[in-house]
Parts: sequence; C-alpha cells; structure tokens
Amino acid sequence: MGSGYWEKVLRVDLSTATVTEEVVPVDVWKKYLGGGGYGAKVLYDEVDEQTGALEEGNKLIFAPGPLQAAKQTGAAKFTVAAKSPITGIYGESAAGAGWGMALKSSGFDALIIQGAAAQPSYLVINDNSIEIRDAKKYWGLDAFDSSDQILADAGIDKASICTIGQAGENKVAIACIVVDKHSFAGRCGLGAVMGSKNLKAVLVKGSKKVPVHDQDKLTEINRDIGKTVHENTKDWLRIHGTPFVEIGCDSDGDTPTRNWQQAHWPEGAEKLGCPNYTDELKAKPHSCNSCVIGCHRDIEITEPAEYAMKGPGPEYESLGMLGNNCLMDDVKALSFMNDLCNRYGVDCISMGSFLGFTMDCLEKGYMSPDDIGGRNLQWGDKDNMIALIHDLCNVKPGFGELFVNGIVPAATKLGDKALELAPHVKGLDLPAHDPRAFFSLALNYATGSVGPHHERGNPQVATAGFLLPEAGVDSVVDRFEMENSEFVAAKYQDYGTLTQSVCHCKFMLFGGYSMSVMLESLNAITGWGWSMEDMLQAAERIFTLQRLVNVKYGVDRKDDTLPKVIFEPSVEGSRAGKCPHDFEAALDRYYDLRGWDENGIPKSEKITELGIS
Amino acid sequence: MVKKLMHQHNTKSISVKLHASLGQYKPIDADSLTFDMKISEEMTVLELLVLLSIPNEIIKMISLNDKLVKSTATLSDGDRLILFSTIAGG
Repeated sequence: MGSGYWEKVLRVDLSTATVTEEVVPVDVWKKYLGGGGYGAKVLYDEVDEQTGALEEGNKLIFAPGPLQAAKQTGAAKFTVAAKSPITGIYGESAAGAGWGMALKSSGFDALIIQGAAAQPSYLVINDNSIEIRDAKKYWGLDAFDSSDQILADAGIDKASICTIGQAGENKVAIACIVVDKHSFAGRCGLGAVMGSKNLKAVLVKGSKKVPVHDQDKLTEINRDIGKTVHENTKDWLRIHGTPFVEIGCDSDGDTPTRNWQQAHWPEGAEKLGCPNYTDELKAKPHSCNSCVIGCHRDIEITEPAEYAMKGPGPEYESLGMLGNNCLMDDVKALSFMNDLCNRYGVDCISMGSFLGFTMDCLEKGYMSPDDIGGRNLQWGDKDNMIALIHDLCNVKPGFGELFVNGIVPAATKLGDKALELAPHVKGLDLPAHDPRAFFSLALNYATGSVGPHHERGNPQVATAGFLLPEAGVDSVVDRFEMENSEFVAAKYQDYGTLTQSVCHCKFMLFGGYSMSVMLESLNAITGWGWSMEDMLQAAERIFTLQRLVNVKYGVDRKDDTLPKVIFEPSVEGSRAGKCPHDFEAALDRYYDLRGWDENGIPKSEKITELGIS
Repeated sequence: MVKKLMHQHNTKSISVKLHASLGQYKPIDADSLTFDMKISEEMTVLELLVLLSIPNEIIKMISLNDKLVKSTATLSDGDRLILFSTIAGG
C-alpha cells in the first residue's frame, strides 16, 4: 500500500545544469498537499522579497497533487507557481491535459526549476532519465509548432509537453505556459518566468503506477463519480463548453463590457454565445485525461480564409475579454485572435483587458494612436486588435513596448486618469466576472492570493446553487448580498485553494463532485483517515501560507482594493443601481474571520494554530 | 416555490429537467429534478414557466431535445426540456 506520494521532488538548476532528487517526507505533503500548496511552500522558504520575477533567483514550481494518482474525472490538473512578473507577488496558474498525470507517473511529486540556462534549452523527464537538451532550433517557434517538433525529434512515444511561445521568450509579462496544445497555465505571467530561464519546454513521460492506500475503494469512487458528473453535465458543458454561459453571464451584468463601463451587451452575447458558437465553429468537446466532461473546444474555421484555423476554441473568459470587453462580436475573428494568443503563448484574459483599456483610453483622449504605433484602434476593430496582438507578443515599439510589463506600468506612463481606468488588482487584470453582478467577488478579488481570479475562489457559483455544504455554504446565496460576503468569499477561496493543491478541476462541482467525494478520494489514496475538518484546515493553512508569501513580498491592506469602476453602479440592465458597498467594513469582517489583523497580516496565533512553519 | 403538477386532460407528455438552483421550483409531487408533465395543446416554454411559477427573467438557457431554443418555442409530445438558470462559472 502507498500514500499517493513518492516523497521525491526533482530539482533542476539550469545555471549549473545539475539535476537532484530531494526527499520530501509525507509530513510536508500532509500540511501542504501539493500543487499550489507546495508551490507556496517553496516560494516562502526559498525566494526572497528582493528577487525579481524574471531574475535567476526566482523558482518555477510545477506540481501535481495526490489526486493525480486517481485516474479520476477532473484529476488531470497540476499547477505552476512562481513569483509573478505582473504582480511581483505569489503567482500560480493551473492547467490540465496530460502533463500533471505524466509527471506524477514519472516518480516525482513536483519539479522545481531554478537558475537560468546559458542558451535555449528544454528538459526531458522520461521516468528516471532526466536530460537538459539544446532548444536553439525551436527558439522563435510558436507554442504549437514547437510542441510538434520537439515531440517528433525527442522520439519518445506518448509524452506530454509544456511549452512557451514567442511571448514567453520575449518575457512579455502576461505570457502563459501551453500544455499539450490545448490547455494553458494562463494567468500570472508564468510563461515569462520560463522564458527568463531560457527554458522552451518540459517534456514528460511517466510509466509508473502511483502507489495508493486502497485501490479498490478508489476504483469504486472513480466509477460512481464519473457517472454522476457525466449525467449532470452532458446536456450543456459537454455539448457547448464554457461558451454556454456567455448569454446568461451577459444577462446578469457579469461579463465585462466596453472596458467595464457598460452593464450588458445582449446583441453581442447572442453572436458570441451558444448556440451560435457551437454551430458556426463546428465545436466539439476535447477532454483532459480521464475527464468525462470535455469542456475544451475543438473548432475549425475554413471561411473566411483570413480567420482560417483549426485547434482549441475560445472559452468563456476569452469571449468575455476579447469580445464583450472590446465590443467585438465576430466569433470567427475572435477565435482567430484566441488562436494567435495560444500560439504566441499569452493570457487571453489580460490580452482582452489591455485591448479594451486601450480602446477606452483612446476614446477618452488619455492616449493617442501615436502611443500604439499609429494604430487608430476603435471599439470592435478586429483588424487592429489582431495587429496589436502581434505587436505585443513581439514587443514592437508602441503597443508592445507600452504593455510588455503589464497594464499598471502602461497606465502609469499614460497618466493618472488612465491609471484610474485600468481594471486590475495588484497589477493583475480582472477576469470576466463582475463583482457588481455578484458581490462576494469583491472580497474574493481584493484578497485573492494571486490577485483577482475567477477560479481561486469562485463564490459567484453559490448564487447558482453550486454549494459547499461541508464548508457551511448550504443554501443559495443572493447575488447582491454584501452582509455575509466575507464568509462566502473565504469559503470559496479555501475551496479553490484546496482544489489547486490536491489538483482537481473545479468544474467537477458543476457535475456534483462535492467536497465529501474529494475527501473520500483523498483518504482512499493516502490512507490518512482525514475528517472533513482536517481537509478544510489544510485548505485554510495553504491559503494563509500564500498570504504570508505575499506579506513577505510587501502586501498588506493598502493592496486589498478594487478598481474604482467596481464601485460605480450601472443605470441599466439587471444590476442597475447595484454595486458592492461598505467595502472597508466587509474587509474588516473578512480579516477577522481569517484571523488576520486590521492591516491584513495573519496573526501569530493563527499561524501557530494552523501549524505553518 | 413548490406546487402540484397540473395534470390536464390531453395526451401531450413532456420530460422537464430543472438545473441546479431551479430545483426550488420542483413540483411538490415530483420525485426528482427531472419529471414528466402533461401539457395542453400549443403550449410554449414561456407558458410552461408560468405553470411552474418560474420567473422568466431567471431562465438563462433552454434546451429542447438537445437544441438551444428561445422561450417562444412550442412544446410537442415527447419533448425533452431542460431549463437553466444562472451558472456564472467558466
């Protein structure tokens, strides 16, 4: 019998080209689980406040969790963590496909990359064989082409691969990591960190079976929950993917529109959302390993020729940010932009944020076309949007040089009025869910470990009936309720932290995968015999540790804010007259609930209670 | 709000599934969120919502026999209807 852990971490120092295997005992995993929990532990212990995100001293931690031993629906996830080049604080992003399960099956619980290679390199992990190889011939290729070529040249069957595109090579702050050409560790600029280390790709093949405590029980859980999730999602999330929610989110005033200045855009949502999306793009489901949902989209465009592409289609976040936020309603053009972002390897959320913000600044006179290479960008201006994606990813003079380090450095150069208009928290662009439509998002965005994130805490789904009764959220939440929003935000943050650390997909909640099933799975894998309280405390411990990482990097109450626009109600739509209110009082209640002091610093007694060391 | 199913004197029968938070509108004599209903001639989805006391504005998507439709769609014998409220994820 096993515990779901190898108790081994692989550390690769690219500066010295050395590879070491480190023993990490199960006691550490019991505290921090894996994924973002382990990533935070490494950053807390090893990366100090002076180290720049793109300097050699930053660490890039790839970590699956215990659930990658399960071959269970939703268990394809893994996380990547580092100090973020956008925010300068804790950065983390998750992806799926096959890479996390492959790393786990290679005999390692995590991979730490440190230093920087003298020349472009890629890493091959083939079970116990670890090799740093020359990547000069792939440098300059996009993420999809480099994936294909590296896999073909490596001569290793059924391997999984993480790559960066040109944006990561060029250290664009919003660069992402591309996994098996259909999943993306999109947020926080982790692709730029990878690029700063001259690391083009990490190819993994694992053929070992992870030892677990009770395989028979696990097999039974996997079978039952697979059927349940399939039954609950087959009519919508499987057929249409996340674009299914586009029209509903727009109707709720949830989707950012016109750089967050407009409440809704039903005529645009109708063109971007379903059924038009599914019909126009011939969209089909594409699953991560072991998943019964298949929320990713495979699409193909043949006409018009200028938007021809075949591959992963845009998800809701891309529709919201490149579409509604920019008043761009051509779903084929948007899919082409999404494909460009995927290939260059940049986060579509931040890309859409930059473009919508730029359109708004131009309209209001806070920027001139001369600031962006003479391009007279208008709302919905798809030709110039495409041109500007190229400009940013190649760091061209104008838009590229202006936004290469993120929205705050760009807005700061443009002046105070532009800075006030920039939709960010701690430098990270807001994703496509609006706190004015779901008030519990206000505290979630303001206090989130990575900044504003739609999955590190997704409290808005509590209004839709996707509840966490084991954590005390046992009834549908009113979307305009501020009074108890600290509780709802904290519980969904802890849930998000837990899923990022055991490494599981939060969409399984839509299919009926409860925290009880997660606990049952965790115990079958590890044999720990945990209670629900044990698991919830682990989640709180990890979230608090991530806060401590951020406190080390200078975060306190002054940073737990929201953009001004979030406190400006609309005059129309379903959220007319509504916006989060009494925010500072809610923040006080949130800190109190968390055991943090009035400045947002975890109190020593809370740190002791959680056993953080 | 819960209420009893209205069994009417005709032969049209449809299957209705209420998604997630719409469960609160489940008829009192339905065993689960998926239930069969008998309906009158020429009933639209909108009219069915009235029958079930579901406010139209909270319905975000409607699936009828695996096709997404508007609330003006007319229901026929044997139809499989799924009603979705806010999902807000993704």
